[in-house]
Amino acid sequence: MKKILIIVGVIAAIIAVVLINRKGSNDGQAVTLEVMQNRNVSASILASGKLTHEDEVKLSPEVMGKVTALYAKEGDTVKKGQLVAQINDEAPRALVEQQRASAQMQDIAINSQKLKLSNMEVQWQRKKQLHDRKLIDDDSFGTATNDLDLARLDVKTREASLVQAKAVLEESEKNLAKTQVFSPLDGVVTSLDIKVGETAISSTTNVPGSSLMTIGDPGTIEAQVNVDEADIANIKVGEMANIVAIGYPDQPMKGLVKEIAITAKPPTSTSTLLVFLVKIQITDVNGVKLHPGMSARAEIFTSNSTNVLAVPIQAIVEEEDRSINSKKHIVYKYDNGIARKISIDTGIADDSYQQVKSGLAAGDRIVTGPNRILRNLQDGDKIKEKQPDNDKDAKADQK
Amino acid sequence: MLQNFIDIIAAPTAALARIKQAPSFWLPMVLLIALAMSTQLGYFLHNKPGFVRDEIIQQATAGRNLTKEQTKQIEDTMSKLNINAAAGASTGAVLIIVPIVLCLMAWYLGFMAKFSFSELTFGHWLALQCWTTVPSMFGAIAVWLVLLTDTTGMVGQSDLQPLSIASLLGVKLNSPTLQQFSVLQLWSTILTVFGYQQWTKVSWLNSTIIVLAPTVIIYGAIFYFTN
Repeated sequence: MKKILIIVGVIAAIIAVVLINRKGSNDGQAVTLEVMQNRNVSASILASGKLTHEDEVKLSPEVMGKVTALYAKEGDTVKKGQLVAQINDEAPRALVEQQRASAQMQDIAINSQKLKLSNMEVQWQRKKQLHDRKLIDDDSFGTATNDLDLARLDVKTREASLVQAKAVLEESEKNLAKTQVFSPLDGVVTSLDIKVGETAISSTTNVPGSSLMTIGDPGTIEAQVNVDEADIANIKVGEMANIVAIGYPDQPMKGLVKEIAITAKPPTSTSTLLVFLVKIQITDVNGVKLHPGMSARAEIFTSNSTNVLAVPIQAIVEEEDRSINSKKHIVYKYDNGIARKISIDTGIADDSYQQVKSGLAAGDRIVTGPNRILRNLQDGDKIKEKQPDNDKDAKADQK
Repeated sequence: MLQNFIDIIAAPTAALARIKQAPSFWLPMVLLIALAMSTQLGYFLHNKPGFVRDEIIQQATAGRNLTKEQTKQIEDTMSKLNINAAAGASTGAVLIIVPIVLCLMAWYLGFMAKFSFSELTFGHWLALQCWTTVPSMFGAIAVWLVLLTDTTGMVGQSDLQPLSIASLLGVKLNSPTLQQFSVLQLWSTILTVFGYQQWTKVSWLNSTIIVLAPTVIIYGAIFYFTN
C-alpha cells in the first residue's frame, strides 16, 4: 500500500508541476505588440561602388621606352600642359637626325640635278640648231632629246623622294615629341603607376608599364555605384541619395543622382548579376575627407511619404490568395487577447516600415513577433503581450 | 513483472536484486519505445504543421554559427518538408534509436564491469538499463498533459518538457538537448548508479563515475559546442 502511495504521489507531483507550469499558457501565445502610428517612410535602393573623380585621365605612353624622369609624384598638383614624365629619347632623336640629314641630301641632289638639267637644256638648244641646219643626224638629236627628258624625270623623282623623306622626318619628330608626357588637365596626381628606370609600354591592355599615372580634378569627386538591374527602372536623375564612405561610417554625405548608364556592365568572373553604373554628385561632404577609390555605399531615395500610417515590416505576413492568383498582405491586430487577421493595402517601404493605405488605424496594436508564432497565427487565436527579450525567439527573429 | 514496475520506483534495492536474479528487458523496453513513439506522434498531430516546420528549422539552426545563405538553404529545404512524412520518420526513428542507445549503454556497463571481475551477462546490463528508465516513462504523462491542455496548437519542443531541469530553474540554454534534460532522466541515471554499485560491489564513487561518464561527456560536448 505504501509503495502504491509513493507512485501515486510521484504521478500527482508530476501532474501538479505540469499544471502549475502550464498555468496561464492557455491565455494564448506570448507575442510582442506595437502601436500603429504615423511615420515618415522613404523608399530607397541600396547600391555599392566607389568614390572617383568625374574628370580623371589615365596617362598612357604613346611610345615604348625607359622612363628617364618623372616630374610629379603622387598627390602633386599639376597644371594643364605641364611636363610630367620623360621617356628615353636617344633612339628617336638619333632617328630624327638621320632622317633630317637624309632629307637634306635629297635636297642637295635635286639642286645638283637641276643644274645638270639646265646645262643639258642649253646643250639641247645647240643641238637643235645644228640639227635644223642638217649638221647633225636625227639619231644624235634624238639621243640628246631623250637624255634631256630623262634628266627632267630624274628631277621629279628626286623631288618626290624629298617629300617622302620630309614626311618620315615629320613622323620621327612626332615620335620624339611623344617621349615627353604632358598633363592634359589641371589636377592632382592620384596614382603614379611607374618608376624611373621602368619601361613604359604603349598598349591598350592593362599590362605593367602601360599606365604612367592618373590625374584627377579634386573638385569633381563623385560616387559611382552599381545598381541591380531589377532596381534601375525606379531610379531617376535628380533623386536624393545618402552616401557612406566605408572609412566614415557615421558621416553620411548627401548627393544627387547625376547620371544613369544606358547600358549594363557586362557580368564578371566573380558576379553574374547585371548592374548599371549610376553616378551621384556629392552635394554635402559632411566633413568627410574624400579619397578617390574609396569604397562607398549609397542609399538612393526613390520616393518619400511623410506622416503616413506605417507598419513594421516584420509584422506583415504574406498569404497567397488563389482566387486572384496573387499575394495578400496580412497583419494580426490585438483585440482584447484575441488575434484578429486583417488584410491591408500597402504602399512604399523602407528598411523598417511599410506604409499602410487601408485596413488599420492609428492606435491599433499589432503583433510583431516572435516570427515562428506570427507565421502560424490564425484569426481568433488567443494571444497575450510580452516584452521583447533576449530569448531564442528574439534571436531567431534577428537572424 | 508488475512488482518490478512498482518497486523500481518505491523500493529500488529489492527491484534491482530481483532483476539481477531474473534479468528481463522486453517489457520495459517495449513500453519505453511505445510511450516515446506516442509522445512523438502526439507532438506532430497536435501542433500546426507550419509551427512544427519552424520548430524543426529552429532546432536545425540553434547553436550553430550559420551564414544567412546557409540558414536560407535550410529554410528552403525544410519548407518542402512533408509534415506527415516527418512525423512518420521521427516516430520510426524512435523505434530504432531507443534500442540502440539502450544496447550501447548496456554494452558499456558490461565492459566496465569486467574490470570488477563481474560475470554478469549483456542481458543483465540491458535489463538494468531498461528497468532504470522506468521513471523516465512518467515524462510521457507530462507530455500528454501539456498537449491535451494546450489550445493554441503551438507547443514547442522545450514546452513539452515541463520537468526539464532548465525549465524548472527558469534557465534558457542554446542546445535543445540540454534544455530538455529532465529530473526524470536524472532519477533514471541515479537508479543506474545505484544498480551498478549493487551488482558489482564497486565503491559509490567508481559507480557514479562509470555510469555518469558517457552522459557527462556527451552533454558536456553539447554544452561546450553550443554555448
